[in-house]
Amino acid sequence: MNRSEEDILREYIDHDRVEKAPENFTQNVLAKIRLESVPQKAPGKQWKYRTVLVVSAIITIILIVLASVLPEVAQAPSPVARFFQNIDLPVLRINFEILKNLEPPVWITYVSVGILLLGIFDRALQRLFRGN
Amino acid sequence: MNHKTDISFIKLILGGETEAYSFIIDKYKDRTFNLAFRICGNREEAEEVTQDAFLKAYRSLKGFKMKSSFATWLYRIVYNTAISYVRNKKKSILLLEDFPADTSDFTSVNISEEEAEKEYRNALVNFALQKITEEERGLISLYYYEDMNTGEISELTGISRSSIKVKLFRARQKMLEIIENAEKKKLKYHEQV
Repeated sequence: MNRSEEDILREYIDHDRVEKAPENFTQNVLAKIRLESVPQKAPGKQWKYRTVLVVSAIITIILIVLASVLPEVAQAPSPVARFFQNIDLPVLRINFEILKNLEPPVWITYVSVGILLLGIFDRALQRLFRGN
Repeated sequence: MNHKTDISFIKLILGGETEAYSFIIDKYKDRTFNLAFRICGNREEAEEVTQDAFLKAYRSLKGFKMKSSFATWLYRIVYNTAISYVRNKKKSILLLEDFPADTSDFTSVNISEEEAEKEYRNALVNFALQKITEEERGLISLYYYEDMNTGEISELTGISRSSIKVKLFRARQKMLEIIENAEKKKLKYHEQV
């Protein structure tokens, strides 16, 4: 090595000059370490993530129970159903008689509405927990 | 504190006493911060890098071989973290094109002429350090500030001794050229004033 060049640079470099770490450095590092060991509380956290599923399941059960308990009410055809019945396009030659003869159980209506509500509820919960 | 003390603290930490890590941090924080500062070029980034390095060291403590030097192991983490940090940031370090020829900024009523000269030289070295690559900055810091020999630097960085010598030679030449140019400008400026 070129000693002279090395010596010149040594003249400029103050070996004893040490840039010291900021105050509270040790506390800050330890705080971060403590934060990292938080996963010990994982069960609570996991429950939080499972809340959406649990709530959805509860609501589905409630809806099914309600569907089986509530009395069946005779309903007039809805405007949408009437529209399809009155439609007279050659392309849409659908045999509505088959549909009329179908007798789906009443609870299907409740479940359909339930699924729709759950979808909205799920989106709301997702937004809420993602925010956290 | 010596190697044995380090090992005894490490054993305590591995045994679940997290607070024992504060002794390790207190012992090495200044030298490691100094190394990160020389590579990064500013205190904020150096703090981020050093904290990150201490966290990495804590997480990898189980993998540390008790027979090897803890200081070298820790320095390796700090060195690699700082180099990666600077590379990932891809920042343009060249904040100043030229070092100011007017050195009045370094003189103050509160400090002696000798201290002002020290301040000036330190600023000039830091300026020159920012003009070389992050790897060269790391090697210069380990060699000059940490007083390590090429063998120790090789063990720490994983670069061969011969390669370190070449890299140090080039880095030194670049720095001296910058320093000499700044000194010439300073002289010229003072002659004109």
